[in-house]
Amino acid sequence: MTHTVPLPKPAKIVAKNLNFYYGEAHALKELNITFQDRTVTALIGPSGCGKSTLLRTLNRICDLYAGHRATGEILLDGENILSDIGDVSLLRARVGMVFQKPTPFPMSIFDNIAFPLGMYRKLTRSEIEDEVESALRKAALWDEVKDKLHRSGLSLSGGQQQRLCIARAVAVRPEVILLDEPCSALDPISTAQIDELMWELREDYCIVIVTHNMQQAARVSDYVGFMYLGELVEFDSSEALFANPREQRTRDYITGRFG
Amino acid sequence: MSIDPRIVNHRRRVSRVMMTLCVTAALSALAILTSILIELLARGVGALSWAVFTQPTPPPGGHGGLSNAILGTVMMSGVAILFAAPIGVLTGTWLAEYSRTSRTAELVRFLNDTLLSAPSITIGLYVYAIVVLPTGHFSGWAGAISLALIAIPVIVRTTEDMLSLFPDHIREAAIALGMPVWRMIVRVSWRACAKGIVTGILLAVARISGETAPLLFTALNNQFTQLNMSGPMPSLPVSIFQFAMSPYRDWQELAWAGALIVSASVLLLNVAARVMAARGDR
Amino acid sequence: MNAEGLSVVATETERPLDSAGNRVPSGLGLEKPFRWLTGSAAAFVVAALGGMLVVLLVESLPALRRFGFSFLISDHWNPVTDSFGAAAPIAGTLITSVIAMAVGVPMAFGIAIFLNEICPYKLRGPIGIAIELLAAVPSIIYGMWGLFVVAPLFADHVYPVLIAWLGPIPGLGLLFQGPPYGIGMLTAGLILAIMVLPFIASVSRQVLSTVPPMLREAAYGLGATKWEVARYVLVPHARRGLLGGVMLGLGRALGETMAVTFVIGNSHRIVASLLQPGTTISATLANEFTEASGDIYLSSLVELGLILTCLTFVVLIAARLMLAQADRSMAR
Repeated sequence: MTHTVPLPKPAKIVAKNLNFYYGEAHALKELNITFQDRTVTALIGPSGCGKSTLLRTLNRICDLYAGHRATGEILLDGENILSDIGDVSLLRARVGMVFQKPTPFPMSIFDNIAFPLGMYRKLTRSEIEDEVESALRKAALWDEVKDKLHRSGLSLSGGQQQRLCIARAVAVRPEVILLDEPCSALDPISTAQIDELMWELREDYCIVIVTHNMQQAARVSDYVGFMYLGELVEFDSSEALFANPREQRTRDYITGRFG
Repeated sequence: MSIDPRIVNHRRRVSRVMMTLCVTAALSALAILTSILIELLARGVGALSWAVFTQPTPPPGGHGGLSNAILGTVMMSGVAILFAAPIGVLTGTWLAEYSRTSRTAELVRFLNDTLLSAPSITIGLYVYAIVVLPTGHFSGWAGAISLALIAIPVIVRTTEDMLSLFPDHIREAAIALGMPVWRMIVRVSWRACAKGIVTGILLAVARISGETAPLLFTALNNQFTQLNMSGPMPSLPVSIFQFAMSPYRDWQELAWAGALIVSASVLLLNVAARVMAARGDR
Repeated sequence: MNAEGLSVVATETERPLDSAGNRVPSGLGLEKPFRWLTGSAAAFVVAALGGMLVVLLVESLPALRRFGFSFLISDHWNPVTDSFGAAAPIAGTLITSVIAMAVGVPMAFGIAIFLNEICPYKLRGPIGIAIELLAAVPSIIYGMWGLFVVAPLFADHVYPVLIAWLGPIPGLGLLFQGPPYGIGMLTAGLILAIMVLPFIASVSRQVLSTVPPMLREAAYGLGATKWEVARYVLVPHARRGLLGGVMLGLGRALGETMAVTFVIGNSHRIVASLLQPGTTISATLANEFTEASGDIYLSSLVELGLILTCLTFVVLIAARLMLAQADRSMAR
């Protein structure tokens, strides 16, 4: 089902009749959803509703596993990324991702960001240094790590590691950033920092965040989609959806009656 | 600053080359395995005959089979496992049930792991020094002891691994019913892990039945059928070694027949152990 | 399996009651003896290994007294004059092991990466099993295969080419001199490489498969290529475990006897050429021990065994420490 909600900003990603299968299991069913540019869209819903699955089709990270298959269309700036697009790494350069747990690579803080930088552009040493600094600043991490850039990324605290991963995603200069429950392993203070960060990043990117945390969804998102059993039940601006859900299932979920 | 397609293409090419090398490595390993199997079958099957199983090893230039060597291997491996299985299972039990993370346990585990990968020829030297020298002669017993020393660490390792996978709450349930610990171990832990433990013992049999080096100076060799383990005893691997290194064509053929028998048994034992382990999982 | 365990527990409740109505825990008397029994089995394992070092040391004392340190650096090995030096077998052991590692380790990593990143899912199981079966093949089979298949092939097609192409190069050419026998250090090293390959490959594969899937996804999510993911993320993440596997393989290579004895040629001369016969500690023991006469000859051979044991133990202990550390860092 689709609700027609006015979308003031240009559409960045449009999914049309999207289906996803884990082998036999049908995880997304005829899904239609639009993510706007320079907007934070949150996906909420009980575990197993397909919200992470949807996120993972948007940069085709699901390709890594056998038997995972998507049908339908996902249009990124009008181009169907589910069709044969050649090198998926170019898609992934445009659509960055941050995971449930921090995933710093086993290298220094500096290299964690310089590594993806060197994958797409030819840069001089000083350009790389500038880019690393600017990515770390965008992720509000620069002041904390500027004196220990050559320490291992693993030496940072959980919240810092997650911001490092956001900086790493930002460094590639993507157009879309996907966040899959980025705060599920973090304490409340780190979570607040990440929320603030997202609010700033929405100035430049199309952001899609999957979260279990209703407060977080309400705090950071412009739009919210509620998913249940592989379907998009309701999609609306976040004030509208949280204040006045139209669907009974949405109301039950956000008032904590299930999930 | 847009994406530089040259860099992206270059990276893609590097990756393709490296991945091709990885595939090549895997294919070469499979090709080697195939080559070994083909040689074994091509040369071994032709050399197999009833005589191989019924006649003892021949004198130089004569005709014969490997019956005494096969018998020797079966006897020595059998005796070795009779020694090794109880010691191995009990040690594994001590590690998994009684001591777990104590310092002594760490030490035993460490030494066992070292023994597990110790060069088998030095184990032969060791047994030579403690058995052959004092008794004054090579013997099937000495051979069996050195095989046992190789089998024990394999059994200890698998027994401990299997027992430590067994959930503690079931142990606690048994103890809570008033069962003494030893009875809980015998009737609950061992019974539940029986398949895994037997798998370990099968793997140990597979390992020792192909061992040559530790037998060279313990059991030595014998041209005749030997049922008395206090004398030098022939074994399949040592006979293969002797015949393969000889200049006689007949002997080399016997060596291939022996090699086929040893490999087939070892691989069958491994497959059996695997099937058993897979059943145990369910 | 667990249900079976539970049913045993259930039957245990049917024991008789004592006068006060409590169940009699039967067999309490065996508690201590059973514990003692398992403990003494463990003590036996400790004694077996400790005894090994002591016995080898005691038996090599005559040679140690007679030759002292010169045993390690002299390459005179003459049973007629009772003068023995272990330099040639020690050098042979090290050289063949280095060749084995140089060839085997990259191949093993390649296989592990292939199985983890490239191989179609349906084939991963069967190929993994095939490689583990390769590890189960007794070493004497590798030796025979080396002697009857590889050595003639090398003598006819590989050694002559190496001698013709690499022989004339100054410096490097010294490694490729002499008549093409087909047996020697290079052949032995390569057979060893094939022997240790499955060990290292299967440890590496296990270690690589413990890398958290999310970390792999994060690397692919940035658009990294398969090679970049393996080289910069998987391998560094698993480095301790991988190194442990390599050391385990090295331990095997140093001590391997049968695979080497067939193709090494058993010569106690030290020559630069890798194409010429040589010997290793284990091959010397296998070839000469039963024919050795005289206490000094035997004692020298045992001292060789002691050196080999110490060498492999150091390597194996390093391997275990690294693997244990890897386990701990994975658990974190």
